[in-house]
Amino acid sequence: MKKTFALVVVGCLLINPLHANIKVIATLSDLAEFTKIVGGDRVDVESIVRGTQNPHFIEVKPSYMMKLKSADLFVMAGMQLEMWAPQIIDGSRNSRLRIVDCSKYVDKLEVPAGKADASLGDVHPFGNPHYWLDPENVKPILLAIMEGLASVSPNDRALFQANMDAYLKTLQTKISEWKKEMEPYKGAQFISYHTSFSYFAHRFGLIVAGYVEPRPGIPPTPSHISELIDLMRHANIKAIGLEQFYEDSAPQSVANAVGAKVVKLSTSVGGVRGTDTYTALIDYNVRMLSEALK
Amino acid sequence: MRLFARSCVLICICGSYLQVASGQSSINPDISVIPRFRIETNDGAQLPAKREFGQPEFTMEEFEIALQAYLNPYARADIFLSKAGTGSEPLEIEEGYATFVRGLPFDLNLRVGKYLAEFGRLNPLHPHALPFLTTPLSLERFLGAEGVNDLGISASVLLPTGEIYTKLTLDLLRGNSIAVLDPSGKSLAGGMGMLDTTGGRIYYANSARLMTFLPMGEDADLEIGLSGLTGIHDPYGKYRFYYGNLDVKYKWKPDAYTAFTCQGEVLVNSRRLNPGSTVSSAGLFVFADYQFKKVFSVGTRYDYSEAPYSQDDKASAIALFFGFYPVEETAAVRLQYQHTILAPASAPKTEINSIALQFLFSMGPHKAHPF
Repeated sequence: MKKTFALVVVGCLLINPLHANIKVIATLSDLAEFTKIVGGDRVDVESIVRGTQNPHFIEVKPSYMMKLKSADLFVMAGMQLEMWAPQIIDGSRNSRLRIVDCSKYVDKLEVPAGKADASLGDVHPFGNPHYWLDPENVKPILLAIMEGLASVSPNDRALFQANMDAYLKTLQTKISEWKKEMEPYKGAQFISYHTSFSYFAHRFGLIVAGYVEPRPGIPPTPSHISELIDLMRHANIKAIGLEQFYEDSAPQSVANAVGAKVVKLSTSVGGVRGTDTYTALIDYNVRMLSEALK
Repeated sequence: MRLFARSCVLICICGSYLQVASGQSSINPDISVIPRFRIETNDGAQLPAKREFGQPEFTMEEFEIALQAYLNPYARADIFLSKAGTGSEPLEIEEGYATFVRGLPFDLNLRVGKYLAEFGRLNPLHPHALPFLTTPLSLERFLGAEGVNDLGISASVLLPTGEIYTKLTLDLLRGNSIAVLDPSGKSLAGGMGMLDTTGGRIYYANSARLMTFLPMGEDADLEIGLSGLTGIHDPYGKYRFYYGNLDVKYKWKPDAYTAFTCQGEVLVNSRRLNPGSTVSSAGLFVFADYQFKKVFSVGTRYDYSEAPYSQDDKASAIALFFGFYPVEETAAVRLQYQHTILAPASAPKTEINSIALQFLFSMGPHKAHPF
C-alpha cells in the first residue's frame, strides 16, 4: 500500500513539476510573441488583442477579466495605449497579478510639450505608444519582459536572459538586412492614416509627411482631405500607408486624386496574412513600403 | 443655480490646474462633465387619433459631473453629481460610492455608498450611455424614474465556473428610494404609504443578480442575467413585493466600424396588497441597435408593461432611434420617435406620439466601453 502511494506521488510529480509554467496574458500579439521568446517553455502566453484589431478600441469584456484572473503576469505596451486595461485588471480580482510596462526602457517619440488636451485629438500624453514597430526597440521591450518573468520565477532568470540574448543576436542580422533594403529610400516621404509608423519611419530614415486623420483619432474631414491632396501634389508623395484596421475609402480617394498608391501595412503580428511573427511583420512592412516608394 | 455654476467652475479650474501642474494624470481624480440637452414635442394624447404636435420644448435633461479615482491600490471611488434643468433644481448626488476591488477574501468586491444597483442589465447604466432617449416603460413603472438608486452595500463574487465568467452580486439597500408609478402616472417613492409616516423605521430592500458571460466566437458575446429584488412597499401592513428579472444581451462587433446589439429584459412582479390579496403583473422591453460606418447607429425598441398594482393597466410603446457620434463619445446627437399606447383598466386608451432630439457632449477622460 505504501509502495503504491509512493509511486502515485512520484508519478504526479513527474507529470506536474513542482513549478507550473508562468501564465502570461499580453495585451498585443507582438508582446505575446516577445514573451514567448524570452520565456520559452516556461511560459504559457496568450494575447487579448488580435493582430487585426485596433488596440485603442477594445471593449471591456468579462471574458478578458477571466483570462487575467489566473495569470501571473500581464504584459502591456503602456503609455496609455490600452486605456481599457485598468478595468480588466480590476475586474480580474487577481491580487497577485504583476504588470509589465514594456515602454519602461524605450526612448519615446512625440512626447507632447506642454498641456495635451482634447484639442489635439486622441493624443497620448506620454508620447507615441507604437514603439514596437522600431526593431531597435525590441531590446528594451525584451528587457522589461525578462525582468517581469524573473520577478515571478527568479530561478529562471539565467534562462530568460539566454533566450533574450539568442533572439537579439538573430534579430540584429535582420535589422541590418532591413536597413540595407530601406537605404535607397532614406528621406522619402509618405502619408500614414494614423500615427502608427513614427518609430518605424524614424528607424529607417523615412518621413511621415502627413496623416489622413486631421488629428489622432479624428475621422478625416473634407477640408483636411483637400489639404492632404494639395500636400501630396506639391511634395510629390506617392504612397499612403494604411493600418490594417482602418477603412480605405478616404485614403483611396486621396490616392486616386494624386495618382498615388494606398499601401496596406500592419501594426501587429497577425495583422495581415504572412505576418505571423515579428520578423515577418517588419519584413512585410519594409517590402510593401519599399515597393511603393520606388 | 449660481452656487451650482460656481461649484462647477471651481471643480474644473482646480482639476485642470492640478493636471497641468503635474504634467500628466497623477493622484487627482479624473473629472468628466456630460451635459444632455433635449428638444421634444408630442401630440399630447389627442382623442381620437388627431395628431397635433405641440411647440418643441427645450430642456436640459441633466448636467452630470463625474469624479473618479483610485483611493489606494485596493479601492476606488466614483462620485456622480447631477442637476436636471437650468432653474432652481438642486444639485444631487446621483451616485457616490467606494468599491474595494482587491484584497478581500474570496476575491470579493465590496461597494458601499449610493449607487445604481445591479438589478437587470440596464438599471446600472446612466442615460447618456444608452442609444435611446426614454426609459423603457417596464423599468419606469416598476422601478421608478430614477431606477433602483439607493444607499446600500453590495458584495459580488466570481463563481467557480471554469473559464466562463459568472458573477453573483448581492445588495442590501436602504429601500425607501425604490419608486413605482401608480396607474395615475404619479411617482410614489417607496411605494404607497411609505413616505413620512413610518416613524423613522427603515424597511431594507434586498437585491441579487446572477450573470454569466458567454463568448460566441471571436466577434460576438452573450450575457445572461437573473435578478431578484424584494422590499416592503406598504409600511402599515408591512406588505412585501418581489421582482424577478431576466436580462439577455447579445452583441456582435467584428471591427470598430460595425456593431449589432440585441438586448432585452422581462420583469415579473408579485406584491401583497392586503391580507388575502396579491397582485401579479409583468413588463418587458427588447431593443436592437446597429452601428455602421463607426459614427452612425440606428435602432428600434418595443416596450410592454402592466402596472405594479394592477395587471389590467397596460402600456406599450414602439420607438425608432438614430444616433450620430462624429468624434467617438465626445459628442452625440440622437433622434427618437416613440409611439406610446396607454390602456388603463378604467379609462379610455390614449396614444401619444413623441419626437425628441438630444445633444450631449462629454468633457474629460473617456473610459473604454464596457460590453
